[in-house]
Amino acid sequence: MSTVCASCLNILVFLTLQQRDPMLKRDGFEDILEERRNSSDLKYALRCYAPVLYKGVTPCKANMLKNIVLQSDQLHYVVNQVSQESGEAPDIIQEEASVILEEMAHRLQISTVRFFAFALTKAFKTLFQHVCVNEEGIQRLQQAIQEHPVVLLPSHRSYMDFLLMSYILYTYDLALPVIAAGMDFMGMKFVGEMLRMSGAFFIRRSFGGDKLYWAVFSEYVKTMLRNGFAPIEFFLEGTRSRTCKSLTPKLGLLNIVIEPFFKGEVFDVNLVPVSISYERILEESLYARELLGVPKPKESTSGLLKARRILSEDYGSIHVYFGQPVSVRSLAQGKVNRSKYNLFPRHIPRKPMEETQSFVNDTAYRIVRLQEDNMVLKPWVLMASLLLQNLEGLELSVLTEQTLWLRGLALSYAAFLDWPDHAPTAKVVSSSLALHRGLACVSGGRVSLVVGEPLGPVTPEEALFNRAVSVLSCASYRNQVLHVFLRPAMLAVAMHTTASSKKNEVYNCFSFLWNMFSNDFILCPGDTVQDFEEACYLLVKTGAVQMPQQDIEMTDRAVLWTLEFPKVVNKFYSGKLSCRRILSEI
Amino acid sequence: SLATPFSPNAHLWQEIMKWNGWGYSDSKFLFNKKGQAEFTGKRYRLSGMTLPSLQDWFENTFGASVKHKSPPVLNASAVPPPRLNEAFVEDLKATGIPFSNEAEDRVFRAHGHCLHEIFALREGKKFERVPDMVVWPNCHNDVVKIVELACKHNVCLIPYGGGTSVTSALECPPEETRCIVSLDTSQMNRILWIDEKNLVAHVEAGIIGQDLERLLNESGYCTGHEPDSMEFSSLGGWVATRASGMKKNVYGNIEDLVIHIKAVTPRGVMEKSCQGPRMSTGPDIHHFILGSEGTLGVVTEVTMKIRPIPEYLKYGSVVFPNFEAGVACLREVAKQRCAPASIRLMDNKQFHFGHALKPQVSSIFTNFVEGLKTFYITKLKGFDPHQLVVATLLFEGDRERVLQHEKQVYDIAATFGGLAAGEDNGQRGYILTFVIAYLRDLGMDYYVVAESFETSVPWDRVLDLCQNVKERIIRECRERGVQFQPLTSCRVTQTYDSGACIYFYFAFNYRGLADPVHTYEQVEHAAREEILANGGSLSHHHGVGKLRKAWMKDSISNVGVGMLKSIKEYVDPKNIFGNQNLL
Repeated sequence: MSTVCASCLNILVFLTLQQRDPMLKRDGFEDILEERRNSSDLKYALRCYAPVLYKGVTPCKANMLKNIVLQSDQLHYVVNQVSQESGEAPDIIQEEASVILEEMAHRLQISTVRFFAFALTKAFKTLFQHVCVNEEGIQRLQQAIQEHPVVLLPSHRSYMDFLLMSYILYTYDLALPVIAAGMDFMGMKFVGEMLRMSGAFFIRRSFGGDKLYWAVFSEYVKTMLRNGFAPIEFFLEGTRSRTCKSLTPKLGLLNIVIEPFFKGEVFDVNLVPVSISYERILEESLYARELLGVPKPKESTSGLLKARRILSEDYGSIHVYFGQPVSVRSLAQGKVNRSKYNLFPRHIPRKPMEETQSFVNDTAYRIVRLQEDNMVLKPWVLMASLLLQNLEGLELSVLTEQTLWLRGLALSYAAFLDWPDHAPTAKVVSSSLALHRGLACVSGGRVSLVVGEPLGPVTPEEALFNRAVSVLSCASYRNQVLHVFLRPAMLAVAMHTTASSKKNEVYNCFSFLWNMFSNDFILCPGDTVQDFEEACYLLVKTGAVQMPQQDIEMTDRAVLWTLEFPKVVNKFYSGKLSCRRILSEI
Repeated sequence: SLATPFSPNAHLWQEIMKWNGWGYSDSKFLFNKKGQAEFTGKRYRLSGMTLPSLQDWFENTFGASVKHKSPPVLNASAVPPPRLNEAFVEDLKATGIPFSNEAEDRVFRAHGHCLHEIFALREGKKFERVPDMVVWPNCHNDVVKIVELACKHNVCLIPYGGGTSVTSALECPPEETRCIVSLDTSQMNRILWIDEKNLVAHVEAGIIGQDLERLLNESGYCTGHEPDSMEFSSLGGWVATRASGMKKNVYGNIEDLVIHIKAVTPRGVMEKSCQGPRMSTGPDIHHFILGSEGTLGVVTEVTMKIRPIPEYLKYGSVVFPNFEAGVACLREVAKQRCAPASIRLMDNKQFHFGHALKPQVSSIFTNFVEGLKTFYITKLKGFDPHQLVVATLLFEGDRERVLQHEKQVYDIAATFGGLAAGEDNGQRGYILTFVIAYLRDLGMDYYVVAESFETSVPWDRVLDLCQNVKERIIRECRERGVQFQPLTSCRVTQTYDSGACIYFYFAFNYRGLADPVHTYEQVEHAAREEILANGGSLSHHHGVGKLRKAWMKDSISNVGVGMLKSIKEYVDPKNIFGNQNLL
């Protein structure tokens, strides 16, 4: 445990906060739908689109790209290797590779993009009030695209995410990304191909031992990256988070896009975290049902058509925040010795070295944290948290008061709150309730969760199920704010549990919690001490805790807060404990 | 193409050489009153000519102006008084070997040609430590005596050949408290015998490259060893740094050329007992001396391969649409093992630089022809003038074979989109090599600092390395507050079966910088890091000196360093050869 004094510690933590987001002050937003509402959609879809590419390269036709991949040394090597192992002729294996690539590759076509630009504009205008984008982030991205190969790493909460990303880049005349998508979409007749023509490339969900598949896939991605033909886009979380909690990152693709830097094939790679926050998620109740065991509806075109009823609802606004591009070169400085790659031919695939693996893992966590940091939170998120602490419902006035209090606290913990300017809190609360009337309702001055829509008599099981859907939907909103309170909350729990003011005892307990939750929340590997210090800093800053010398004590003011916090974490804690109990009984 | 021959004598040499810049005092670039660049003197083909495009190129490339001068400070810097070892001086006097402790002689041998060294001389900065005296042995036996006396009196010896080091190898370690004696080999400059039956010559190691070639030429022979510094560098220096010559494709590098080395160490004289062309007698002891950079002893005599002067010599050049195509062509030439005596590929920046150095042409006709050539390449063949690169070639041998060889190389070039671009362009490329070092002095007169560095790298990494190193330099300059875009340029100067040697030029306008040399050094350090991270070597032929010592462990492993250390410990336990290079 470090023994830095409290004030040094504050500075230290402040610096690390700054490191995560150099500005700490976030950019403002611009509503891109506003212009769409005032001008012709058709003109917009047909406008001149001429983005600048990396170092001014000319865009590469999809077929040419395939040829480069199929003729690469990397692929030839693996083709020969597989041929030797299987006894098949290299030609046949090469043909297999070609088929894999055909199945995988995107066929980006500007006409399809224009179609989507048109159709999505129509859809967005009905579905959403605003689609807000930080334009400074766009400018940074534009700069980055010209200087280095760029990898876009958006958070993943909805099917909308990737269409939305391409839509925004098209709007700002930026190079359209190629997007790694799951094979599931391919099952959708027509739509799958449309997505392909708007830049999606499809990868199988699992291909663990298939060397050839891996070689085609990684070479395809690397070729696009090395030449800077287009920004690569994929979801670090691997899949849509059904709970709105960030998922622990998957490393496969990140490894692929970082490797060209280690091998000196590119000067740098820029990773751009993108945080997409939905005021109301399209898949809201679908997710809750999925979590309760109702199987995920298979991606199908007819399903999509059926889903068009959602077009009649109001989904509030979307905020898309393009974070500061993260230079892999700067991150790797002093952590990875690139010259270790000198002694092995670059075209022969190798398992990443331990040093690299831990670097990539670390980077992935940092990016997801950056995504979390720039996630815009709506007032409803705070209200959902409070409602979940009071499942039996609470007075509207109390909810309003507590929401205001929670807002203050969240702000002091650097939450990225989108709170309407100059609006009285009561108004903010009521309009949030109106938007989420499917989840909460006010009756007789009391706010409570809405439980299903009882059409006729329901069995007790159905009633329970419906209630669970509401609670889970609500929880998925609460989950959006967890990352703000997580660290101070763990500290508060640790202080309660240890009932000691000795800093190292509290830290030991904190560290225990930290390890236990390391798969539930985004806790960067090896950051235990830093997270502890950050938690201390935040609690001291808000006056909840004092830290004289080696001690750590709660102040009188703190009692209320620190009692509230543990509730949040305790939910997960007791959840874990009961899971363990059930498992041990089995 | 070389300067007028001159046989150096200890003091005369010093008098005709610049004390604070490169090469001969009478040869330098300057901007005349009309603002036109001129190369003075009579020694080179470019001497006495005006270069009408240089000023524009210079001002545009660096954002410099001929109005902003940064001339050298003229009064020589203060020199610390010599720390003489009286007993050593007494014994030395008894041998009759000439020596001096004049300030001028000592400062002249206190440095090589690193940017920081020349910059310090120009600014009149004081050297922390310079040799306390200079000795001029006349032969091997003199060296034996000097080394014996140095051991006896615990005096530090630093061998000095041509003084062209660019690795801080000649700098005196500031912490050295003993008397430092610069052992100047310049008087040991004779060819002792030529053996025509075995085609070898036995030569004293102090001989300067151009003298060696000239003297051998008189007998109809040459060594073919032509490093770019051959006008001033010495045979002993080549051995001590593992030098490489322009025509190594025909003649080999220095390690391929030496048959026998005689070296005087504190333990005694080291040499082999015969001149067999190859031996299996354990590790080759020559390789302890090759690249030892003056840390083990002094090379006094070398037996070297010689060849009859080639009957026919022909320059050539090929223009490629871009650097990638050029590298691919060189790689193919290496693969087919048909490289001419020299083949070099200049990048686009260097191509333009070469053009800026074209002398004024008097005839309208020449002008017209030049115009036609440009039209043909850029308009008819569609080469982008901001992308195209040029390879310069030098063929040697009997006429018929040269012509045959030439065709083979041009045919390969054609498959990579290369167009033959004439003998003149080729020849100019090679002349440039000898005058380019003078240009740094011109730059320094106008707030521009410049340096070159080299590496060797496997073929498949050549392009990425060039690209990344250039980008790193530009980025480091920006981050360190350099106000103007730096010039970064590279060329592939040697081809091997498995890789190539790459030479970088790097220069920037330092106006507005408080400590340009420090900034320069930081950028060069970063560039070297980048080279190593991209699979390049620490050095292809410049050596390590003190400049690149920090990377030795990473380069040759701890065990490797340990081996070298144990040799040093055995050969020179009292660290008489205490220049602190390499380890």
